[in-house]
Amino acid sequence: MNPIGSACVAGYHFALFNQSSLPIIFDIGFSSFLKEQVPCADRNLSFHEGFIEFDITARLYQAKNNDQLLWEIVDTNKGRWFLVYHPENGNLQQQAQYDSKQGSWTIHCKSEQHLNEDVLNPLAYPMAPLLWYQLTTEEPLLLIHASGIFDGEKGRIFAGFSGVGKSTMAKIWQQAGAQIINDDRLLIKKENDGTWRMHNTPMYYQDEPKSAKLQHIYFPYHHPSNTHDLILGAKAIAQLLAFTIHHGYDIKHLLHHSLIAEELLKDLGAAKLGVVPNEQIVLFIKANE
Amino acid sequence: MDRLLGEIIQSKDNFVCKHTGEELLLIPLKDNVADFNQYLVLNELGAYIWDLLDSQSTFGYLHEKVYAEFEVSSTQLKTDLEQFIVSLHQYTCKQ
Repeated sequence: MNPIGSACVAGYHFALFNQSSLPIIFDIGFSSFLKEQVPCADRNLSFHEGFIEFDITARLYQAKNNDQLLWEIVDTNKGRWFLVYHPENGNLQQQAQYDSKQGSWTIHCKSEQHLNEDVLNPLAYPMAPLLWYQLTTEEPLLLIHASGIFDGEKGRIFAGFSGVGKSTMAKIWQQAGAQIINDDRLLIKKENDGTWRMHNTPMYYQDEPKSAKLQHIYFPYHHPSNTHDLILGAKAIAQLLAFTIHHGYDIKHLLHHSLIAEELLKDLGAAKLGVVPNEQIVLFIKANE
Repeated sequence: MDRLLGEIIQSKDNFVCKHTGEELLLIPLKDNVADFNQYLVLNELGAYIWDLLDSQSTFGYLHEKVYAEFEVSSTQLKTDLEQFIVSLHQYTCKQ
């Protein structure tokens, strides 16, 4: 079967195969990431209509957002599966299986109505971020909670959990003329030439694919004055890993991510950043680099 | 000291260890999920001791190995090693 197109994220091509008789739709955030052409695929995604029956023999891992179960890994009489749930109503949304040797995902979902037509939406959230996460466990990538900006000369990321001012920082830089790569989630990638770039991923809103060379990593926090404290070595690795996305079902993934973080921090500077959120922070940061 | 050492050794599987340069990063695992808010960084000496810890390790064995490897007086080493083991026990066994 020929692919129906591809999705390109962070330079990785996902070939899309529709194994159903229904049209495929994607969340709005995918629109600029989809291509009709299918270059040499890095991963294959195969979409199937309907769920398959199996008996669950063990639940291995559950990924939750607060108390809401987003997805889980189960062993069944038909192998190991990811069960992915609707983030609001908790209903089963996708069954997915990953073949790491082939780099292939098999994704099952039920049809839904879209513009009076039965369709499949196989990558509906949170399936897509699960694909990006799995990619980070095999490639020189980190998926991180961060805002990223590029001012025409340097790329910087501001990593932290909600409330530390990631989006505010991105807006301040934007007002100073910088481009926002994304203000919430980024893929950091070691490119083939050894440089590091940050890439956006499809979100719940429409945006163009963006990427920029990365030079500096900051961990902002609210503070009465602007402060800049370099962090090095193991502390820097731990700080960076604290804001990258991990799931604990395989310790090898964590070791892989820690290796990527170590390589990244050998090349780029990292600092804790006390922040007063106004335009002065831009000059302050540049003066301390 | 040997009892504390035994409890530390029993807890070693609850940590992900990452050597970086001369330092060792310890990340505790809770319900199989890494807790980056409770990490510990050991310096060169601490990392050396951590790596020595296995079911055969006793205080006397550690003292002997560290004394042979690092330039330190035997008396000072005994005091420092005791303090380190107590601190490491507090950290590893509270996770």
